[in-house]
Amino acid sequence: MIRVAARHAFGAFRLEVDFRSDEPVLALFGPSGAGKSTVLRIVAGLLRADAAEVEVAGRTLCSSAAQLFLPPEHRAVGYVAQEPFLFPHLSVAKNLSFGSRRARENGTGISRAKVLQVLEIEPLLDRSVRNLSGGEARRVALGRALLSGPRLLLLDEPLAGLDAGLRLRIVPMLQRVFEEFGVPALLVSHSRAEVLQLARGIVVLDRGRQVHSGGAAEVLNEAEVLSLSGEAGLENLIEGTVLASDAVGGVTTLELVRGGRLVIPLVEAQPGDRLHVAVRAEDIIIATRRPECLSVRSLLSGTVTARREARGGCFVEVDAGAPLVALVTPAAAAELGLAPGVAVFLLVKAHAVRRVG
Amino acid sequence: MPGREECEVALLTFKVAVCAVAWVFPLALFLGWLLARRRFPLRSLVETLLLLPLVLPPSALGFLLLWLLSEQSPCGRALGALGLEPLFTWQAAALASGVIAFPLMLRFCQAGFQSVDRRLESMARTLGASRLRVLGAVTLPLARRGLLAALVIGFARAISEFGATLIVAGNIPGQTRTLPLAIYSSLLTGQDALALRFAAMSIALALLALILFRRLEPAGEGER
Repeated sequence: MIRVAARHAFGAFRLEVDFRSDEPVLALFGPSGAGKSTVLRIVAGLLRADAAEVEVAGRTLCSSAAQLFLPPEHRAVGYVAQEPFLFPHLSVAKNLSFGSRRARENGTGISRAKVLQVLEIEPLLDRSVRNLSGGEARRVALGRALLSGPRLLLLDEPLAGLDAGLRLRIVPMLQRVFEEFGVPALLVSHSRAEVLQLARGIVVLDRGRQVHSGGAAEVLNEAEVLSLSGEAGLENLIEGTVLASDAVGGVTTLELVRGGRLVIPLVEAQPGDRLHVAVRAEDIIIATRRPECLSVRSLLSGTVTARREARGGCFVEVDAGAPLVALVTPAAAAELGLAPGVAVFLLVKAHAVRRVG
Repeated sequence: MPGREECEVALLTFKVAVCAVAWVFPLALFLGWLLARRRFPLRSLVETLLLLPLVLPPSALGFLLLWLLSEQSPCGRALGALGLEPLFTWQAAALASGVIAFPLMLRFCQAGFQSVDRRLESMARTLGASRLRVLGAVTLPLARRGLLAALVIGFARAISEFGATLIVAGNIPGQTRTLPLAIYSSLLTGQDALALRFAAMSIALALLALILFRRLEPAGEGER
């Protein structure tokens, strides 16, 4: 269980959050400048908020009411910042064991061997941290946090700055970390797809204010949250099973969970494999009649379930084998008469789809 | 070959410089850290005052020290009461060259601490390290280049100290006559060849310090 209530002001920025969650993985979601990283720093004890109550697994880390402020080293919180911040004068192995003293005291029972295995760090042990690649450094930083006896993991944009290929490797690793080690995590993200892949609970922040919280899947489809994610490019996360790959045609066909087929650029996967792909809301075209003679590879049929006006456009939610959100202009929505219950076709270019898991 | 007298001078110079660095380094280390890491009122005034010895004539500082250590000042009287009369001893020479070397050493220590990314220190705290352990395991090792530079530059400055040393320690052969003073004395008495030998020894000592510095200094970032 985690509970965070904090108030903090610096300059013109005001942060005010108050949430509690029993989810093993909780996401802090919102556009940049929303105050997400600030919340992590408050929980880690690196920032003294004007007022804060933080409780993790029944342990109070700080409480303005009780005039309690545990220093970061006594919080047993594994903090992984956006940059890895490995100690440049130590080897990878020494970086990993930096927090082992506290790990022994806490007895969280996370084995070094297991961490090395899950994060595939073994081959890096003797390297100097100066010549690790971005993805390698990220893994070592996560391993170092796990081996410091954490009762909570704080992950600040764990996938930021990684290219698509690396994300594909890191996401399953993170999922395994959450499953294997049983350490609850609070992660910061501004990507909808990322949140859906990694977290079940969500707290949405916007300009320092907490605008929503609850289950990730439901909250992310709330109107005000949709418009927030729209600013950073709203991504739909779709799960599907590989039906077939066509090397000559350069495409792989997926069968969606509740029917419907999606064609994506060729990926390395066997028929029957489960994949996650992401499509941006603005890359989905809506038609009210079945179009013909198009280069577009995927045509999904579905029904409009909701229409939400927001800054910059109109989000249309469609149930088409998977719940999808498309972004259209209010003019288009009006002309096509897009309202709940209307049957529509969704067109998705293969190259607008990218594999995320 | 240098004679016995020359060797004694060199040894004395070395001893005075090592003691000067030894007593000033902890001070420079602490104040350097304070200036690099802490904000406090009148900080820039303090910083300026601490750098003052760098721009004052060493003889002026020597005069100030002379007064401080003499019978005329309360400080000198207090020392006297303890049975300490440092004036015109090698200890006074070490004190004087230490004061002269201090601002340089402070500068290098401060720069060393400033070169350490504070976020690495924060990260170490979140991994369970106390402030003290962060200092020992993260800050000092990462600042080591600046700290080493402080030691070597301080030493080099101390072996070349002349003005302040002359005033508080005099120029007593075998007791306070260090290399720079010996060069001066030999020139005054027309022993140019001796002066040259002393000059050569100064160069040797300085080179020794620099070579030691290069050996201790780890390879640069790009070279690893």
